[in-house]
Formats: sequence, structure tokens, C-alpha cells
Amino acid sequence: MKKIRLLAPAAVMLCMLVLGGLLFSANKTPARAAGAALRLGDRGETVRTLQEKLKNWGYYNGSVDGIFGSKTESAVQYFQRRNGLTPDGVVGPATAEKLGLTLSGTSGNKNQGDVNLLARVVHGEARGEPYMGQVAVAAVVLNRVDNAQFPNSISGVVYQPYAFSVVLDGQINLTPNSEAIRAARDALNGYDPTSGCLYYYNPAKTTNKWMLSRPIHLRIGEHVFCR
Amino acid sequence: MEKTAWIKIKKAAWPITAAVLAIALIGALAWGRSAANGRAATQANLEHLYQSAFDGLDNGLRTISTDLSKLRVATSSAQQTVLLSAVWREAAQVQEAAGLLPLNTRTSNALLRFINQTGDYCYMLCKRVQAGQGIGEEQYKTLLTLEEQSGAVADELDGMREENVDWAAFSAEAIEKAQSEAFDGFNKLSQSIEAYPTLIYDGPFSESEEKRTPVSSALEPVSYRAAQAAMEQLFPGVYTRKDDVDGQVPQYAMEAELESGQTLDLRVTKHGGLLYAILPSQATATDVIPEPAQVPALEKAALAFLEEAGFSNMSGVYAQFYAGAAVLNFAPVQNGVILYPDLVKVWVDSSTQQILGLEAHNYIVNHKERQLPSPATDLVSLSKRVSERLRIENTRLALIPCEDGQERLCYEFTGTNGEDTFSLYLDAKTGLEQNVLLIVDAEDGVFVY
Repeated sequence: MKKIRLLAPAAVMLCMLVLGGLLFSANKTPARAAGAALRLGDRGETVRTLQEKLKNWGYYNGSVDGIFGSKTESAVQYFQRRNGLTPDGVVGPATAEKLGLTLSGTSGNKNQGDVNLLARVVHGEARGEPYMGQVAVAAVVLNRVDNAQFPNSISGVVYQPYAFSVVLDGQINLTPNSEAIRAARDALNGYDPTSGCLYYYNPAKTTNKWMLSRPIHLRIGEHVFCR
Repeated sequence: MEKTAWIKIKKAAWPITAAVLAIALIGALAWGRSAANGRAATQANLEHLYQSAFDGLDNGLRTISTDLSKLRVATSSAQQTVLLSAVWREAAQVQEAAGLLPLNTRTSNALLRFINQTGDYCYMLCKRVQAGQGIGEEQYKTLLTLEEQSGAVADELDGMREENVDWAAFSAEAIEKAQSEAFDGFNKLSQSIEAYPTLIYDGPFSESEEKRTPVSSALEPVSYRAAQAAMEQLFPGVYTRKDDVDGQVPQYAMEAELESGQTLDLRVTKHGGLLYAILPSQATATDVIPEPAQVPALEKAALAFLEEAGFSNMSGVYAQFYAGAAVLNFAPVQNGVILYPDLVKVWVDSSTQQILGLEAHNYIVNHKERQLPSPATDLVSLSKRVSERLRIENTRLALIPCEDGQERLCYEFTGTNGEDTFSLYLDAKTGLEQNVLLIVDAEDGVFVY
């Protein structure tokens, strides 16, 4: 019995060491650089988004599991044939563009970058909110860009320290779903359900007195919006 | 017997256990140290980032103050242009730096407003100088105030630098509560900047723009009942009143459930009962990008709807497609002049031609019968001024909104250079070039005319 008792701490420590080492090295290894194309064998959030889109439009009837298998490949080929693209089953820039999909690594114009960043804010901040509430969050970011009291670019506004909780907790780095992208584009095209609001918060979650002291302009879902 | 065996095993196991433990300990220590080093490095990087942004802010404001002081004595318009545009450029960098600092909302709002308006003011003045209008007495006074204020802010920042700001203490809660001593400097700063008088001028960041009275406010107020009745004519269905939305354009809000099952969120102005917006209540699931050949039919459907909704004499200017919708931009036409300040956007389902959305803020705020001057320059002589590098494809008269809040009657020359399409705007009165637009032929954008 004693042997076990003696060896147990060592084993625990070894385990911790190995685990810790794994965690640490996982932390240090950069995430597999997403290439400028998606193909058979790839997996991840972008593949999931791809499958979602293909499924929504009736090109794909497999499961949305984030794994680029042969079913996904034939769905991509089907999509490519229907859209006048070379049916090679690889989602390159041209196919991604037709799909409205953002591939990291693809060079995009400024506008596409804006759409993507805005969509990520919407996805992180207002996922699960009514659609109008998602557009409203994007509109608040854009109202700030136009206002003298805030930085003059979308990225300046989004990354202003402590301005958005999704930037702090890393949710900003999630791949936005198609609804969030649509909401970002609607806001960029001028939809503003808030009529010029500069702030919003969830009254159940905020303790910020300054914020709570501002007159509420309107409510959408869980959020209240103010100027 | 059994006991000796146990002791033997125990004896044999001891060195191994000890060795394993020692390795584990060394490993854990090494790992812990490298993790701590990593954290310390991250923290140091963050502090350096803040420090560099702080320096950018402080030094930038100092430079702005210096350049503004030179404007007191610079007399040539060339030199004034150089100095004013230097302030404008510097302000853009300073606002970027200020945006990176972990300040509380009040401070950052006050600071950024000051910087943005200073840059904006100098930019507007720069354009005036270039147009040969020069700097007036009033404007010199304003420049002097801006010079003093930017110098004063830089002085306060210098004071904070001497006290060595502890950037590490800047957590979200600490900033908002501003309890830590480290924030005293910034608190004082926000109070002093808030005390500055508001800058009155015309520019994108000016207060006058934010507080502009919309044209629609002169219209008769309508009751909610009347507003809903008008909407029922357009969209028959079941209506639910929602909370009114106040702001620059006060609106009634209502939700309409149409027979088709489609739900629309409608906004109607309290003055005049005009359709202000149809907001999307859900994202469309389709993502078909229509062929350019389909655009005329979509445009026809949108125009018919606009006419019904009270927007008459509209003409299509630009179309965009995404998520199964066509976003068509229309502007009213008066005596053959296209009124760009009064844009209306209509979202149309690209397969069913159903109206999905509308956005008429600009129309509601700006639209009225314009007193259009007759062009003082003729098209033929003006065309000669257009760069030979632009292959002109289309010309028309247009009223365009300018950054100074004014509207100008211009000749619009649309043409190509290489692969790109540009629109060039030449003032119809003075012949001066007012604006150049590059038409970005995005993946999903089509320029209709």
C-alpha cells in the first residue's frame, strides 16, 4: 500500500507536467494558418459556415460538423457547377466570393475587412438576439465612427480598450455566422434601428454607473440603447 | 518472508521515485518560470503599448499647438495650407493614439472630441484657403483658442508623465470607478476639456451637423392612428404599436404582420407621417446574387413602391446585392438635376421582387424643392477641363452634398481610366473640381448609370 502512496504524488506530478507541457506548447504553437482555400480533409469553424451555407441553399444534405468530407466536397462541386465555376471541389477565392464566405488569408478590400470585423462584433455581442438587435449593435459601432467623441475607424472603435466585452474575452475572434454578416452589411448600408445611439448594454449585466445614468432611448431584446 | 520482500521492493523503488520526483519538480519549476516570464513579457508589452500611445498623444498635441502658433504669423496661402493640413494630419494620428489608451468613457469622449474637431476645423479652413477665401479675424481667434487648449492638454499630460502613470493598474472596473490615484490626472483632464467652449463651424464632426434641424420637422404633426392608417394602405396586415423612437427625427414605430407571413418593422415620422424606414425583422436565408440583367425589373418594382409610398420623381443611381436582396439607391430628380443629398435605399428580394426594407433618413432630413442656380459654365468648355485620362461615358447635372454642409450644383462626369470607373464633379458655377469618386465595382455592386 505504501508504495502506491509514495508513487501516487509522483504520478500526479508527472501527469501535471505532461499536461502542462501540452497546454503550454499548444499555447505557443500558432493555430494552423488557414490557407487561402478550403479542401477535403479540412476542419474548423469556416468549414462549418461553409456547410451551413450549402445546406441553407439546398446544395448539401449532410451534417454540419465542421469536417470537410467527401459529401461536402460534392456539395461544393454542385455549387460550383451551378454558379459557373470550375467544379474542382476546392473553395478558393472565387468560390468563397460567390458563397459570401471569408477565408482568412485571402486578400480582401477594405470594405470586406470592415464587414468581417463588424460581423465578428455582432456575433460576439448579440448572438441569439433578435435580428434587429444584431443590426442595432453594428449600427452603434458605425455611429461611433461618425461621432467626434470616438475614434474615426471601425477598428479604432472596436478595439478601444474596454469598449466591447467581446474584445476582452476573445469572442471577437470567433467566426461570425451568416446572420451576423448579413446584419453587418445591413448596418453598413445604412440601416440604423437605434436612430443614432452610441451606447448599449444589458441591464441585467452592467454595473457601470455612468452607463446606467444615461437616458434609455429604446430596447431591443436584451439590450437597451442610449445616446 | 513477505515482509522482507516488501522492504526490498520499497528499497528498490526509492531511488526511482526520488529521481522521478526531482525531474518533475525541476520540470514544473522550469515550466512555471517560463509561463511567468511569458506573462511578464505580455504585461510589459502592454504597458509599452500604452506608454507609446501616451507619448503619441502628448507629443502630437504639442506639435499641433506649435503648428497652430505659426499660423498666427504665416501670411502666404501656400504656407497656411501646409500648416493647416499638417494639423489635420497630426490630429488623425493623435486621435488614433488616444483611442488606444485605457481611459474612462467621459475622458476619452472629451479628449477625442477635442482632437477630432481641431483636425476637422483645420481641414475645413484649409479648403477655404485653397479656394482663395483666406483666414478671417474670427477664425484667427478660434485658431488661437485651439493652440492654447492643445498646449494646455499637452502640459497636463507632461505632468502625468512625471508622476509615472501605472498602466498596469488600468483594469476596466478601476477605470470606470476611477478610484485609483493613477487616474487623477486623467480625471482633471476630462474636466478641463469638458469646460472648453463648443467649436462652432461646419464640418463632418461639428456640433452643428449633429444638431441640424431636419426639413421634415416643419411638416404638420400627425397622430399615430393616421400614421398607421397610411401604412395599412401600403402594407395590409395586422399592426402592433411599438415604443416611439425619439431623436433627430422623432418616429412612430409599428410592427406589421403581412398575409404572406412576412413581418415588417415600420418607422414613420411624427411630422408629416412619412415612411422613414422599413427595418428587417429577420435575415433572409437565401444568398442568390442576381444577374445584372435582372436589375431593371427589380428597379421597376422598387420605383413603383416608392411612388406609392410618397417618394416621387426618383431615379436609380446604384445597386448592390447580398444575402438574396438587391439594395437599390434612388435619388430624386428636379428639372433634370439629380439630388444626391436626398438618397433613399430600397431592399428588394431578388427572386420575388418583394419589398424587404427601406431607409430614407437622408431624404427626410434634406428633401425640399431646391432653388437651383442655372449653370454659369457650359458643358463644352467644362469638358475640356476634365482630365484626358478620364474616358467620359456619361454627363449630367447633379446637386452634391459637400463636407462643409453646403450643397453644390455640379456637372457629373462618369467615365473610365484603365479598369476603374470614376465620377468627377465640377462646380457648375465656378468650374472648380469639387469631388472625385471611384466607383468600386465590388463583388456584388453594380453601377446602374
